Amino acid sequence: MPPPNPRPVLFLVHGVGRQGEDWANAPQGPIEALREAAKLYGSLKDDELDKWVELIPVRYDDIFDRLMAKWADQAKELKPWATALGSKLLESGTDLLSKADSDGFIPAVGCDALLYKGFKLFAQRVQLHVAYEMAKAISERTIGVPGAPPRFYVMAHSLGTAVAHDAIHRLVTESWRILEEVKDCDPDGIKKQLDSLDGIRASGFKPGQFQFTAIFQVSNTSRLMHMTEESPTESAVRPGAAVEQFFNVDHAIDPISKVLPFAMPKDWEDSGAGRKLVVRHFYQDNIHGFGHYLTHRNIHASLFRQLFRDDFRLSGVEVEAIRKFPNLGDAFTKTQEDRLRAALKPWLDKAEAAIAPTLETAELWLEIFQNSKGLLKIP
Amino acid sequence: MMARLVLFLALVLIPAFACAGDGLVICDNAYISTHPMSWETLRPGYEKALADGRYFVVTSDLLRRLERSEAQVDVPVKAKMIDRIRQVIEGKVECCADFAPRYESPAEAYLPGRHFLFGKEIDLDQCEGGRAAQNDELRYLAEDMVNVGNAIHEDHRAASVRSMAELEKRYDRMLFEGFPMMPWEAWVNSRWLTPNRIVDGPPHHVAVFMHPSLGTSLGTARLADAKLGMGMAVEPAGWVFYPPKAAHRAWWGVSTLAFFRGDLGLGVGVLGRYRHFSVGVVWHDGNKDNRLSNDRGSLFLGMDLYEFLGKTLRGYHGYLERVADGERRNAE
Repeated sequence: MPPPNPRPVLFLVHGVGRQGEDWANAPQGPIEALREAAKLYGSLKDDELDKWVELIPVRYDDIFDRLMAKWADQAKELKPWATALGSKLLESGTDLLSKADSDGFIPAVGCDALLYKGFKLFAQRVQLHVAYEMAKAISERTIGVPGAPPRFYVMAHSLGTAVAHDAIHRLVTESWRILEEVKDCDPDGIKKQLDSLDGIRASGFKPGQFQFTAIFQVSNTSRLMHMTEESPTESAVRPGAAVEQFFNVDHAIDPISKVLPFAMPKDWEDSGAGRKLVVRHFYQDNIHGFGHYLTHRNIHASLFRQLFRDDFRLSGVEVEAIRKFPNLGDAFTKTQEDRLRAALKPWLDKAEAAIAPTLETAELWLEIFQNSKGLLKIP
Repeated sequence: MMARLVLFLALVLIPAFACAGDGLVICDNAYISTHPMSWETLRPGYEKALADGRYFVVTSDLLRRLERSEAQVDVPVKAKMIDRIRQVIEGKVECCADFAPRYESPAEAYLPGRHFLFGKEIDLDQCEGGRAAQNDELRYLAEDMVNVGNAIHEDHRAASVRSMAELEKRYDRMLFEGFPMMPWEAWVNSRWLTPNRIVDGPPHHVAVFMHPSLGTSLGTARLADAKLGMGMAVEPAGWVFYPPKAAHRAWWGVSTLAFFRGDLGLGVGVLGRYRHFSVGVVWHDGNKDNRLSNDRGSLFLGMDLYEFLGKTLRGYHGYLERVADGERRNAE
């Protein structure tokens, strides 16, 4: 089968960490994992993955980077004066803040989660950006469509699951057109307009007007990290509202998703609109990694099935390969063996050195015994 | 020979082209762009109505085609679809995301799924009793309705995207070009002053709390004795206001002020600001009698204003020097 036309669109939303501009194409990232996965299936391997699906990575962590850089600059300016004042508290405070843009673990990883969850203003900025990127892409791709309508999917990872959840909830519930209706930007004017505006024409993205075909929440932290008033099981991001199908993807021992695990309501599963995909594989050191999740055949095959539907044809051999996917990857196993060997080598060398004299003595006695067998007439 | 080659290519390519579509195989029927009910077939006839915004014409025509179709052999199923389209025409429901054919995965989500419309109201995989052609046609009709919905919402979506782009600019102006909040101030303002709706934009009222900055003060007793000195300022409490009509391009505010200057020690006062420029009055206990009421106030200038004035003065000095040089050369 040739690739679909139009291609389905998959938005990728990253998690914590310093992501570059091209984060999704980083080694062991989601796009590399998906490209490698596509090569495993006869119905996909003859074409570049880009011919089958349009991948749109959405980046938001640059907002946090800019905030941290701004605070670091402010602190660096104040630092000499804080020192001159002789206050230890001021001095250590400005010193700490001046390192906000460094590459240490806390600034690079911890601060994203802290800034998102702890500051509603920054969370709104991030939600707005992600919602805007999705809205722009959807709007451009639903104009003048020649044939079957395009389908839109979301796959989010880690903190990105909360960001995607919140952004989609905002996208489909807020009346975005309002700025074009109220010219003088008066907050009271906006409020009056929102109260009276006919909701049907308020954005073009409301449930019923638009729906994401499926969302894949990978290592779902939305229950802990969401910033919407509604919880992730009660918000608009549920089957039948903003999304048609909801997939919760989890690794059995991924600690990040276990802090306050997402609990899928039973009626979602019973209706067939909600699915839980739980994996237990070890193919990379970072089992929490976005790319690591996608190396599992159950995950990427389920994604391909949703994206390409009946165009994704599995042979019997391919189905068996998915069913019997080994939980230990060869490369991972070898790496761990090498590490174990390297770690044990000093101990093994010491032990060998310690017992060497004993071994020599034992060998000597054995030689004496063997040579004296004839003398002692031992049968 | 050429004719045979063309025919051969057509036979090979048309099914391949026809296959490229929605990825659904309904009762062994893949998507074919030349199907009488496909959007490729019908859209050219609807161009004018769509361009004029007469969506009622399009949805009514789709309804008529459904009612007259001989493929719609199962009457209750046909009635369900008719009812759905009528609800859209009568404005009783939103249009038309609900029409998208649903693909429900089994428990092993990588295996082929089943196809439905409207939740599970219409099972597109029930192919017996002549339903194959009916279901296939319903698939095209449903996707036509989704396309109509996309056309209806085209302008709203574009307007929404424009609004969101403008809001992004406002948030960035407030966060990165506006009053430089420190982390604790950002927390206070997030907690109590940030509106719940993003569409309301970033807050127009911002609390100032223990805000540090650099500044300079100038004693004004006599110009001859004027002492200029830099120091660290802290605004214990204050308020900044972003006027709505300025769209977060400008702001002004007032704050209380504590100013630490090496030679004069701690002074207290008030300041006003407009954008990054702040000016105020601060009183130091110059005569060391633990009373501020008998001390003259000093003019406080925030660092940005001080540097701005310095740059302006330097520019003016440079201008004066160039004028003086010119006059000297003329005299010579």
